[in-house]
Amino acid sequence: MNKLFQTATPVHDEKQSDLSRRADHMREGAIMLGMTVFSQLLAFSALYMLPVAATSAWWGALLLIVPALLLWGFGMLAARGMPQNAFERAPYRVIAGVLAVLFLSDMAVDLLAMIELTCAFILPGTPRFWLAMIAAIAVGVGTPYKAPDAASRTARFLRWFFIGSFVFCAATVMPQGETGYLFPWAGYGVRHTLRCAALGGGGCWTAAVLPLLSHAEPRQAARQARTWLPQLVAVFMIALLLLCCAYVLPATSLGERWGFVLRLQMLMNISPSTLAWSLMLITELLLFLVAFAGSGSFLCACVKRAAKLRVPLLPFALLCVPLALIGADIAEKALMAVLPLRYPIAVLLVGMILIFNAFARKKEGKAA
Amino acid sequence: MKRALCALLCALLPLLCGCSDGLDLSLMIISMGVDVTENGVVATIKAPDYTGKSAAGQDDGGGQEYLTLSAAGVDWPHALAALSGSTPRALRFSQLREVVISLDSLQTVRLQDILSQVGQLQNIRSQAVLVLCRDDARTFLQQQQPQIGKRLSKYLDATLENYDQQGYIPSTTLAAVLRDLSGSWRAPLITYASLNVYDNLDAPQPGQPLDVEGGDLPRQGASTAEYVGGVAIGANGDYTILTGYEVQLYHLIIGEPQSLFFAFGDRYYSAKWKKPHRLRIEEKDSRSVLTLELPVIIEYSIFSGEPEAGVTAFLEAEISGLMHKLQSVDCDALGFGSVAARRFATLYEWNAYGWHDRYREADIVVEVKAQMRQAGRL
Repeated sequence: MNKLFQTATPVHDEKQSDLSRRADHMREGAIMLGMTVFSQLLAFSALYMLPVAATSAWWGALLLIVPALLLWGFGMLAARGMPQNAFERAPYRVIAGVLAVLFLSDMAVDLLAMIELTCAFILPGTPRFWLAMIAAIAVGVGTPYKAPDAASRTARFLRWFFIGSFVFCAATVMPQGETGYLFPWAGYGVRHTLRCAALGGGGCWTAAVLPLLSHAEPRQAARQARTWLPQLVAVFMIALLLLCCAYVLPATSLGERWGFVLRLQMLMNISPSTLAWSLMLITELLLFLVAFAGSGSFLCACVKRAAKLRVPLLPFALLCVPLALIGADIAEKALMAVLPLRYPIAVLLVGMILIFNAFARKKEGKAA
Repeated sequence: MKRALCALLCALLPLLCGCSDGLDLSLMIISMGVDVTENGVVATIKAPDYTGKSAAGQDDGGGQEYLTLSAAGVDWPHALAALSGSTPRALRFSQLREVVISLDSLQTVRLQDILSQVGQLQNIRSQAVLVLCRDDARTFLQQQQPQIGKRLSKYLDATLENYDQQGYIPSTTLAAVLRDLSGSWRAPLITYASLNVYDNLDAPQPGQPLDVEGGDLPRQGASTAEYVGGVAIGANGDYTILTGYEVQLYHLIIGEPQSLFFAFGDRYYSAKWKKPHRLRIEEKDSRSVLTLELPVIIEYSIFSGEPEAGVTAFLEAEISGLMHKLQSVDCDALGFGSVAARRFATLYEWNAYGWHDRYREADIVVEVKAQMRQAGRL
């Protein structure tokens, strides 16, 4: 029977399986990056958008698709022109170093959000320091450098659980809401909505990363992997979450002074469905944990390219602990100011790669 | 296999957290009361006494297993501090079932202000039902005892759920009231309760069944605390009390529960919810016209012959009366605001529209689309 499915030659079969293995690997990475995008948007942008953009927050979140896909497209364009051994060269290695710093900021955000949620709902009164240390050590030890794909595999394994539980929560909570809370459609006006979407764009910076890190992979494998899909799903899930939140609670009742956890707490309290919100809380905690580990893995991959060093995740995870120890207000304000800048930084990096590519081509042309 | 077993056992370790004496070291509050006067605030709590008998020197209102403790202060934080300082256990609000506030308190301070302070209590159970009470909250809680069963928490859960299902009370939670008061889309209806001190069986005047407020029911029984009716609160703090029958009418409109037993002429009918109601707003001569369309099924008994003419008009008049009563205190409990908001592009335009002023002066039209049916027929 197997013979029926065999192609003309064993060499062709081997090629095909190699392609699908590479595509599989890329898909895992893309899912991980999608989760990173979701966790970043959730931690700051999503619940920040509700009070600022009010009733237009959910469709404002959908606007994030445009910058995310644009960046992904630019990233693909830049990756295609990159030399095979790009990261052997100094300029490209500097770019990998900057990407590593950006991933460190992602890790800090994830750890901060995870600790805030744990202190507010699971272990009230527990010192932040110990929680941050335990999480950092657990992730650092659980992701040894010998298995850099561990986080991506976990993300792939849990993806349907995450999507399923968010959809379940939305389906449970929505009937308890009030359609009127979604009106007027434009909230505080289109200007505010666009501003929020622009700020939220900072969470989408990773859209540029996957094409860059996998530039050496065959195009066919990249096409097969559909790396854009997880980013798209992440944005849709954020929009769904915001729609659900706006449906349950009038967005105007959440002043700007409300912190991330307080907003979530209020939303949970409003809804009588304790089961749905408990599930959402568990999902969010798990998501932040996986995203923390995932960002760490990407950080290690960037450091490996930048410094040609195989480094374990643990020191970087521990480096994030002091950030989580800063008071939530200060950390949130500081990160809110810095995080939106990540999108223009990513655009700048991609632009620089395009310039380096042009120089490299010129150099190769001269050499030829 | 051994590893998996070890991992499973480790994962089960947190379940051992129940083997502590944490429960005995805290006081699980079941009910909380707030009385605000010009002189200050009195905070009252009702919590189980784990010894099973009343503590010496405590004013427990004659109960055997529940403590009622009160403390006063110039404002809420002072009263709460005095209560915490005078109670030998840590106060826990995570099992709170009801928050009782005396109606007299609303003469001094706005409900939003009280609730925003109460809502800030750590780990407060926001699903606790908010009750507005004709008497002092302190007196009400002192008198409150489980009439059936032993546990007050279960008794309150079951009682409030039962009355809510029957449609006698709105059973609105603390969190839901906070939500509705913070936006301009709709206004809350809050459970009304009172102590019935008359303890009589004098038949009331003929009229609709349960067309009385809590505390006025012609009945005798062990418990004097009665939960019947609701309180409609407007955006500016005005309020009016609705009878049990009026709250049932409100429930018939929103469809939870879906039936109302009413008298017309010398016969009784049962109005049943048929389809979701429809709210419409039209502008006529710079005045808003609020229209409620309500499809219902009116059932009549097979033994009493054909229904009388005018039963639909009667139901329309009753609902219109309820809506005018709500309108008189600027309470948009049906949510016309959420319909009006759809016509505006931004929140600025919506706020500039001045919905509350327009709602107060709007004309009301009720259209009941009744389908008459003999009881028991499909």
